[in-house]
Amino acid sequence: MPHFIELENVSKTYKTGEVETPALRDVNFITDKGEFCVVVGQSGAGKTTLLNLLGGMDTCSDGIIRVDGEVISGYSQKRLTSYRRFDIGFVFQFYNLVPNLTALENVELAAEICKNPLNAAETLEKVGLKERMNHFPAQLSGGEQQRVSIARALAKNPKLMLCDEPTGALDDETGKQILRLLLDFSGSDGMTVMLITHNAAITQMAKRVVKMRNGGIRSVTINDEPIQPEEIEW
Amino acid sequence: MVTKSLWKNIYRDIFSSVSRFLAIVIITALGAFVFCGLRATAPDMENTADKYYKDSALMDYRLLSSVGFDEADVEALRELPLTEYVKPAYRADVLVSAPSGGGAVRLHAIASDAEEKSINDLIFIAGRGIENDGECLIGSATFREEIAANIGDIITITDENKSETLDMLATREFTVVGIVQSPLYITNFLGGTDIGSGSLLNYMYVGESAFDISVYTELFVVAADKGELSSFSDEYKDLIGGGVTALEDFAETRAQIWYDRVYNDALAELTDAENTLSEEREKAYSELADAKQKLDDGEQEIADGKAELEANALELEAARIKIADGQRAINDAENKLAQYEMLLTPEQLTEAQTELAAQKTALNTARKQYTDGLTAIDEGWKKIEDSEQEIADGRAKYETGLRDADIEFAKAENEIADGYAELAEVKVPTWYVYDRKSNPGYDGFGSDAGRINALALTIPVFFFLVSALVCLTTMTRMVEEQRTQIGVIKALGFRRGQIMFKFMLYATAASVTGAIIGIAAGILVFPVTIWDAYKIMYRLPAVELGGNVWIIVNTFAAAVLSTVIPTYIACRGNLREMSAALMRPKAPKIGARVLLERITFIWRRLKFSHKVTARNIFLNKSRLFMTLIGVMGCTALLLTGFGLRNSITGVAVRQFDAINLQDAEVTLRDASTGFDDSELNETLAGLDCSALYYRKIQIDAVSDKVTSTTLEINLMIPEDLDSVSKFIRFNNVRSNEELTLKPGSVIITEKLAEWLKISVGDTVTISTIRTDGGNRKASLTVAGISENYVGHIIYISPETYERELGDAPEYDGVLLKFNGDFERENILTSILTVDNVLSALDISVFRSTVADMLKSMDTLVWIIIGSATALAFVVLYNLTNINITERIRELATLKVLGFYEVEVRRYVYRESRVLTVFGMLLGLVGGIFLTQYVIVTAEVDNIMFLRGAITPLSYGLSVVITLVSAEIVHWVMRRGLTRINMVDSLKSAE
Ligand SMILES: Nc1ncnc2c1ncn2[C@@H]1O[C@H](COP(=O)(O)OP(=O)(O)O)[C@@H](O)[C@H]1O
Ligand SMILES: [Mg+2]
Repeated sequence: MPHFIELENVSKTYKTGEVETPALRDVNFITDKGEFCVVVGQSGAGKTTLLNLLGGMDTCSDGIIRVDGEVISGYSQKRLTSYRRFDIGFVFQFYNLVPNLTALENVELAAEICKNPLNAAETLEKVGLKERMNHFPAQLSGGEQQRVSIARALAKNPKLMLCDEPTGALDDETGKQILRLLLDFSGSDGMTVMLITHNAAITQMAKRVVKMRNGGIRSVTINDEPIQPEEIEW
Repeated sequence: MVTKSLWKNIYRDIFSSVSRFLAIVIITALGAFVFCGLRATAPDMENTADKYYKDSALMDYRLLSSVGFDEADVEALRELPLTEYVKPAYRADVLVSAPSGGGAVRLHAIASDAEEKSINDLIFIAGRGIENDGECLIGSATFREEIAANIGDIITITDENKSETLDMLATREFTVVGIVQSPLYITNFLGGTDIGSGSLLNYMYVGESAFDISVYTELFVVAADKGELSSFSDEYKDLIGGGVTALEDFAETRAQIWYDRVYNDALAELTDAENTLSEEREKAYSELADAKQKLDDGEQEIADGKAELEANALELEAARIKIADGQRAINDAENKLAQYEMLLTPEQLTEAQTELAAQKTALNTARKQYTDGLTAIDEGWKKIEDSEQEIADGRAKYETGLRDADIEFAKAENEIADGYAELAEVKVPTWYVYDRKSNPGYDGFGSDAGRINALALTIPVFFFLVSALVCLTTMTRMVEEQRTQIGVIKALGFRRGQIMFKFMLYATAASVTGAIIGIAAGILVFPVTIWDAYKIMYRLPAVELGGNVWIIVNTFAAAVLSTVIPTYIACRGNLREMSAALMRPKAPKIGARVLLERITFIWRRLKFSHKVTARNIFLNKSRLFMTLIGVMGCTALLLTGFGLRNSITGVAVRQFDAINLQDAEVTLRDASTGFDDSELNETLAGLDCSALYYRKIQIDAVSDKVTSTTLEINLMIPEDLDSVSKFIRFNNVRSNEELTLKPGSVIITEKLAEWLKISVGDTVTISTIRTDGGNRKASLTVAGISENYVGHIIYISPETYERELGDAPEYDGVLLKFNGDFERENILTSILTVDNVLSALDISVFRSTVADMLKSMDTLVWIIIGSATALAFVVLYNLTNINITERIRELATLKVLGFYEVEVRRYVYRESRVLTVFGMLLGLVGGIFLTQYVIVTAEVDNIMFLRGAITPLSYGLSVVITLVSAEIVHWVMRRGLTRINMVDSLKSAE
């Protein structure tokens, strides 16, 4: 049985004028459906690049990316958009909420365009923001904003949730709460969660830990007994 | 100070956002183009005209008098300090016939005098100057075609002219040797006259020998002390205003001098005549008395002669008796002798015989004496008879002489009495002092130029306002984008001023570039195109582009300030923050709840994306206003442009389809027989048409509120009030009522009413124009104000005219309306064969003339439309551009979420579409008012543009152009949207 995510010899080189920056080199790696996978590495290791390729936000220079059996590395821009629309949920370090929309509206914005969206209000309730649904992003704390952002990704009912340093801008406690949320949702409905961090501590809670360095995979470990986020020592 | 790195920074800013920089350049250029262009136009027009006036030595004052001017008048005038020099001249308004027709023209001749100065120099369009008697020059300015002469044409002064006029002229036939343009006549409308159809159709120049008159009839004066003053300057107007007043005083003095001289001369003459009369009377009657004495003496002599003859006759009778006695005695003696012969001695016999013979001889002598006496008496009687005849003749002669003398002296006495009566009638003559304003078109040209200036102060306001808003939003965005950078620079120790300097320099560079382009284009494009338009009406040389420094400087200032000030405002707020705060992203704005959300029943029904749009629109006020005002300005200006065209093109249509319904107009040669002209009436009867005789007279009209106008106003007297509605529709626009012309009051046309500030029921005072000063005045009630677009007319019934203005109107024109098809050529030709018909014109000639004249406004309209469209482009481009760059993160997020390109576009553009539609609606409303304002400002004196005549097509075009501009901008911007890179846009913190 094929794996949910399969990367074969994936490379990515950024070209800025004459300068070529290799961000990913010959990356090979798999993840199974419903897994909670953490990618860890120093800044500049190529984590984000990897995530962007997986999320269909960017295209690789070489290699094959297969997600749920589909070779997305050959997709056209249009198909990539559909792929993002129906299969992917994103959570960013800086939330990227639409400032002019309330929490609820931000979630609705994403839900509106999907085939089987979850109810926006209920999703917000699930992330614990029932009371603050009608607040604008600027009226919410960082953690709350990140919850909205998670709710927005969840409401799309995606196959794959990609989180780029979701706790990067948050304090430890809040970060743990966010991690808890993500952990809770992974596996439900077969949703796979892939989380990026530069914080090695977080790897303890993951099933699969991918360590990156200099655009390449250094190691992939399977953690048979992941700990709960609350137990993580920073 | 500004360091090299800062300069580099500016340089990079410009090139990293060329479109934004260009937006400021273009918007500034547009504002400067329109502002500078429109404002440069009036001065250029004025300077060109002024130069023409100066080069042609156009007179400053013109004097006319009811009795002409003599050398003494001219000398006295020359001595006035306010005159630089004086040119005496002759003029007469005459009816002429020319190969192309005929009508009233003004004849000019400049008298030669010692002063070598020139006056009112002519421009030769063709031909040469006058070299011989019997040659003339004719004006090229012919609005109507009646007297458009060619070189070689013969122009004849017809017999219909008044005898006083004909007496003034030595020559009555002229050959055209040149076509000229006189600075006295700068329009196609040459002014009014009291002959012919009431309007001058052309002017002619002839040699002074063509006039046979002892006085000058016109004096042209060039004012002293005017230096290089522009004819349009207030200083010039003040100088001339003062001059006119001084000349009026002078005129009064001279008129009195003329009066005194004429009165005293006449009085002296009369006194002489009286003296002569009494002397002659005495002499004549004493001679008659002598003659009578002689006759009486003669009669006495005759009586004496008769008495003597009768006495002589008695004496002769006595002598006869004596002779008879003597005979008898002789007979007795002879008898006795024969008896006594025997008895007597021979001696005795001889003695007796001798004695008897002696006695016989004596008797014979006596007898002879007697017969002589008888003859003498007969002769005496004959003589007496002759004398008696002589005396009778003499007496008859005497009687006639006496009667003749009585009559003759009575006549002489009457003559003297008449002389006195005449003397009493002699009035102080009237002198008329005019300045250049009396030249047809002179004032109109000035106000036309002023009108463009008025437009120059309105329309560009939109451009500058929008340009300020564009700049404000652009610079605000730019400062926000560079927040972090500013923070760093500030932390590095640059002062606030230095950082601000960068932005100011950016804005200044853009606006200076724009201003230079705009000013250059404006100065070159506007005056030339507008002048081209006015050239249809005015006969002036080609426009000279001046480029008034003051206008350039203040356009420049306005253009640059309208960008630099908003830039300053945009920078100030941000730069005041501490550098630490600056380096952090700006705290996001709290999303605004819009008013609409309170109206939950609408809000709930809105689609989600519409709610977002509603929010976004109100998030940024300055952008909202920029877009609204920009689009509004654009639509308003478009509507104004199109509306102005509707109003203008509608003039000819409305005037000649809905107001003047006649097909043709006939002008008569001789007004006095016009109405009764049987030949004409017969011809008309055969033509299946209705005819309306009328009289049109140029007049002045004033009201209580407005005491003078420069308008050309006509008084129109239709002969038949019942049929007038077939030819002229009197329609009140406001009440949409048909008016009827009734005796006792007048109907006046709309724009005239507007000028005179009068409404129905008010009084209008009209006065006839007569060059001899015999003006008549009448105050009349305005019964109605009627729709009219071309010219100013006061309609009056013949009865009222006769009662109020004295004369029975002499109809000199006929309006014709054909019942069937109007076959122009044939019909007009047949009418023209009638002797008394001077001209017969197809009304469509007027129609196309008016349409031509109005085309002059078209260029201006297209410039407005073009600029408005450009304005829409710049504003919408700027808005969309800012919207995209500012919200690039939001848009990238949408892309990440899986929005398709078309959905992203719709999301962004919905906002500018909504704003465009709202701005456009506001613009349509504003445009209606702006159109109204512009129409009133841009109108020429004798034309009224249609009010509120914006057609649905114009609304449609304004809407379509605005929307299409928006969509074109959107189309151009889609590449920018597609290019948004999700990865890069979301990488960093905002
Ligand atoms: N758009 C880009 N253009 C050029 N180089 C890039 C771009 N994005 C990332 N890089 C480079 O690729 C490498 C990997 O970056 P990234 O994937 O963001 O690292 P990480 O997320 O692990 O910190 C870095 O060296 C970075 O400089
Ligand atoms: Mg990263």
